[in-house]
Amino acid sequence: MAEVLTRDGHVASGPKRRHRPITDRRGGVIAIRLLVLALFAGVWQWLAVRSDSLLIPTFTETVDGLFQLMFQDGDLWGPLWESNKAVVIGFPVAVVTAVPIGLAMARWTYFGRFMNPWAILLLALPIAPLTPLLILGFGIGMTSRVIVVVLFCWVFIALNTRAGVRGVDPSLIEMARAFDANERQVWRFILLRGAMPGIMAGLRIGLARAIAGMVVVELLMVPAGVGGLMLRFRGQFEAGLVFAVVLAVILESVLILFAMRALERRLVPWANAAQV
Amino acid sequence: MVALRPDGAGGALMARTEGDVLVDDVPLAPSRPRSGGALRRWLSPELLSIIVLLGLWEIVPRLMDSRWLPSFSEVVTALGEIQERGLLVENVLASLRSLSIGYAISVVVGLVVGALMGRYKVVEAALDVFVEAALFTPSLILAPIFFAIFGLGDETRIAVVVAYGLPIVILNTSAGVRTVDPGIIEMARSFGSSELTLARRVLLPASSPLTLEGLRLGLGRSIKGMINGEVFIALTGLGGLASTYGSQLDSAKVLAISLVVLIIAVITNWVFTRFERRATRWLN
Amino acid sequence: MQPKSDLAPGERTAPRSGISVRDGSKIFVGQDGNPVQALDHISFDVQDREFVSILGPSGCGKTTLLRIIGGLIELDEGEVSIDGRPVDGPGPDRAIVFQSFALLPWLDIESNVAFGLQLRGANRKERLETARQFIKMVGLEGFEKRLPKELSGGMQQRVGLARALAVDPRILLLDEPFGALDEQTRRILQEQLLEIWERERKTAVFITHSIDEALFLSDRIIVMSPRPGRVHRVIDNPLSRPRTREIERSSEYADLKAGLWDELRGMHDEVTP
Repeated sequence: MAEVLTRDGHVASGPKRRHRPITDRRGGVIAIRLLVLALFAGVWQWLAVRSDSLLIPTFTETVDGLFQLMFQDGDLWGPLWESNKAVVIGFPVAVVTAVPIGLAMARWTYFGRFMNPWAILLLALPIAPLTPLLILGFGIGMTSRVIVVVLFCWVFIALNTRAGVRGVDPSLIEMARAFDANERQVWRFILLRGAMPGIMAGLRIGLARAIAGMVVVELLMVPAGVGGLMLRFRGQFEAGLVFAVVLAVILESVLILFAMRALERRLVPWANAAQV
Repeated sequence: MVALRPDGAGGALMARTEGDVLVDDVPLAPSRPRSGGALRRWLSPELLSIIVLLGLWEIVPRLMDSRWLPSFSEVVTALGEIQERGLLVENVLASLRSLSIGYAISVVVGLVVGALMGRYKVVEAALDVFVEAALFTPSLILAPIFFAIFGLGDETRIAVVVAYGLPIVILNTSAGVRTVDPGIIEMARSFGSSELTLARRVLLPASSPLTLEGLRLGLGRSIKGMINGEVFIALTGLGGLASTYGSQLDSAKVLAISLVVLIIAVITNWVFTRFERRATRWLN
Repeated sequence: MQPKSDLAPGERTAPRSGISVRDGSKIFVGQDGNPVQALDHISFDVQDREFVSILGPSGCGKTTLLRIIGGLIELDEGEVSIDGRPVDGPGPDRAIVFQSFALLPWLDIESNVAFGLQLRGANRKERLETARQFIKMVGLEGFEKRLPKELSGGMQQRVGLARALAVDPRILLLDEPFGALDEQTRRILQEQLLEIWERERKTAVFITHSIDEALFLSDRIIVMSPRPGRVHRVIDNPLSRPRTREIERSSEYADLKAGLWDELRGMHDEVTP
């Protein structure tokens, strides 16, 4: 029978010797992840070489390309910043409008229920096909790009804010009431603090969605930044550079994810993992 | 459930939410009759909202008289036109085909990988950061990669569907399996169950609330992947159709297509939720 | 079963100090839409500085009753008054200790204890000083800066107790405060509570479904029956004060316990002897 690591870390099988599972060892987890990455790179390399296609760069070609774009000619940064501008403008706009409305949805049940169909509409209606309409209405400039970003992330921020408030342990509200807190005090001392994990989660998810909106803009609407870069490289048959740009966007997202997680840990250290 | 002391202007009875379904949970309410009369009871806020939405959609575009935002009736008319030309059914089927294949792949791979992650700490340690990263990064960025590998064929569109749906299925399945009571696992193994049987007969059923939720969310994501991938390729399916109308600047038809996708999403979600309820009937 | 109260029917009362409940009734609408009578014409008194337990199985309305005295819920019929004045919402004269502790997870212990004072508008320096006194009183000195999640259940409830005491209420309302704790911790906290009460001499209303707890702690025991919630019997607890664990071995104790167990036996299987 295969060796199985049970929840408490013991090796659970018959006559094999007991030893500390690799996940408990210092650096063991990191080693496993690096192994996975190495495996992935290896398989990629092998498949790319086998395919012998002009369009499929090997792992090494891609990494070379990324290095080149980032450090040698630095061609990445301008377009990357240009693409991100839509997020830099759009995300704060969405946050500033969605959080208060999310709070209002939590406070007034009727309003919350009223907004539900709109929320479902925004969630389920695909925005990607609608980009030509936005260009028609708002031109190919920053405005329509920002609108896409806002449309992508707004609902998630509002709904998570509402869920954050609703998720506050009702016994805490009751306790505050027992100490004769008025409604303003309940909001100030209990609800807003208690909702922070949910709101932070909403901001994190919203940011991911905003970046997704940015990519939809670049690939389907107006290749203003990295989209244009990819088109250019594809036209020049520089497959390595095309993939390098994709990799750059992925790396940017991952870095932002880590930053958001770290921010969450600092701002709400008291929250347990289940809440986010 | 706590009743906040009613304070004059609408001190609310706080309700709970469950995921994105609002459960207005008021088990103990004062028995005073509600004010507002019959109309209030019949006209739920959701219904009012839909009426307002459709009303605005109909009236505001007329007032604006712009080409980019057609009124609701114009969109419906456009939908009729598409149907008349026989384009609707054919493309819906094409889209549903890549959706089905992509979703099926996401389900099978997702359940297996998720179960492995939930069951074995090693697998979890190996993959969890990548799954979390995959959930955060924009899935559409992989479209150019798939395009380079598979070209204009169906595989690209299916791959995009998988890219959209797979991570959430893995995440929820692994979370679900991880929460299975270790005592039950121990019990099954003490009766000599093999790992495979354990997975089939214990892990998947016991983890079903979270796992099914993952499948439901994965379906919604897959539909997004379906349409986005098709718009990117701009060839077949509903996305391809929308792309064509988009380049013709036919706003009404573009919105009509989006509406069709919305309807597909709503219907599949409804069907799935009913299936989910029946499947988890053994819960309270 | 005839509902009993310690008043003869029709006897009018002169306003007395302490808590007074007269003919209190409360109806809730259940989830299925049917009305549930949580309390049915409840009448009893709690004297100033008295320690009264409300004992009964689930569904007898004791939690509801506590919240009514605390001012969180209103009676549908009847009246609850303190010192002759009807209760109109929560107030500075009462404080509740909750079964689930209800500590704010984002505040450290001293801020949690100071919370009631903060709501009253006390400034930061004053309220923290007061909080520290009460932290000491419940034996948690040294834990001021910790977060609730770092404390055990018993310690968390001591924080809850300190918080209630810190606002200097006349009346302490305790809603099965030790119900969520294990047996050993529960017994230790009972002793601590008694010790503090004997010093501070607040009026105390203590909800429980443990006969031992009621006997150990209180001067009088109000036994309630469920569905609908009624006062079943009010029993004086003659065990002498100050109380130590020794009493549990006396025959007087055993008789009282047996008597109470008989009262409760017919009602429900959730009462623990």
